Amino acid sequence: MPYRLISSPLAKKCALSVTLSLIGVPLLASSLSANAKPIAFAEAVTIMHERDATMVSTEVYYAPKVWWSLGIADVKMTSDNKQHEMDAKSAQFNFLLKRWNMPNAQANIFASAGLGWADSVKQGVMGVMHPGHSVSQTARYSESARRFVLQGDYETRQFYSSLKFDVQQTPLFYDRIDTGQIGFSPVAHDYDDLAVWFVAQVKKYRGMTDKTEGGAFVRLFKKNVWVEIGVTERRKLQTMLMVNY
Amino acid sequence: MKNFYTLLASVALATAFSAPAFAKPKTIQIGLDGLVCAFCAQGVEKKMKSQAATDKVFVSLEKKVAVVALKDGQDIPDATIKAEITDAGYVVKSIARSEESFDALTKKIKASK
Repeated sequence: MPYRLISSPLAKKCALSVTLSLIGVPLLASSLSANAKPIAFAEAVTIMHERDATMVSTEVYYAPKVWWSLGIADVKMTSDNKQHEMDAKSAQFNFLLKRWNMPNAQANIFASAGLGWADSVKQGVMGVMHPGHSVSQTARYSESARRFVLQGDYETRQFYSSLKFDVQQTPLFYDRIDTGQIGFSPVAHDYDDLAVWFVAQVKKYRGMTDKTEGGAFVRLFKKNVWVEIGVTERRKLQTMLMVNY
Repeated sequence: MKNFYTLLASVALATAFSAPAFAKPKTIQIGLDGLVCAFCAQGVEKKMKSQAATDKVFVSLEKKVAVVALKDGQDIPDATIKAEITDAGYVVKSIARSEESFDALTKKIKASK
């Protein structure tokens, strides 16, 4: 059994329904809303920490070459209804599949693959004994988790766009988040300048949550530090910090 | 014969004092494609700083160049520069050596339109 039930005996009878109801829990959902690049530059360590209403993630990668990086990710998720919590830890490979260097622009295609495990807790209503009295229980389980990401971007010193497809899978569920971003910087920044970007974002969730949500944030970028702060359409705060060295 | 020795001496003196013809460059200016953000600049800067002959590095996103200050009497072969920049993920468009000082060259680059 991939799980253990920790409440009433009745829960055992409902184990199957609990298991099925867990299908679609968005493991790692909302990961990296900022569409930050998983590889900054060769021989660099990248640390990313992101936080929003449903997720806290910390990722650390090392890129021996600009074409690939390897690292670990720890993502803690809470579903919209607060009944599902998940803590996923994984090792992840990131690949720069293709880069176009143009005189005034750059475009990239990245792919990532992750493998790890996820510990989950789900609170659920198992049934109604009689009107006004329902039985709820908590299910905990631990299982393997996989992640696949395909990401593309095109940017100049004043324009930025990206598209990201993020698929999460465990034996029990499949979840996918597509993220599109478009941003601009009023000033063409140089290396020593503080770059200020205004970015609009749209996310399409598929899985347990089927919704499309917009958002907007400000990105501040100087030297090796990247900071983002913004709000989603539902007025939820989202922040991100990325440091390279 | 006297004229010959005079000519020979003149040539020798001219050769001895024609330092510019044999002077070692002080800086290398590298034109680049793909430089759009600070991470790009960091990648290039880190690669060029890793060279033993490098004293310091300046990168301009606006001018799409990197300037490398060389240590006294040292140089970095073009092939090495191209290999390092390619390894950093960018494309070298031009390489120019100069006897201008690092400060003078970077000042000129910053001031250029």
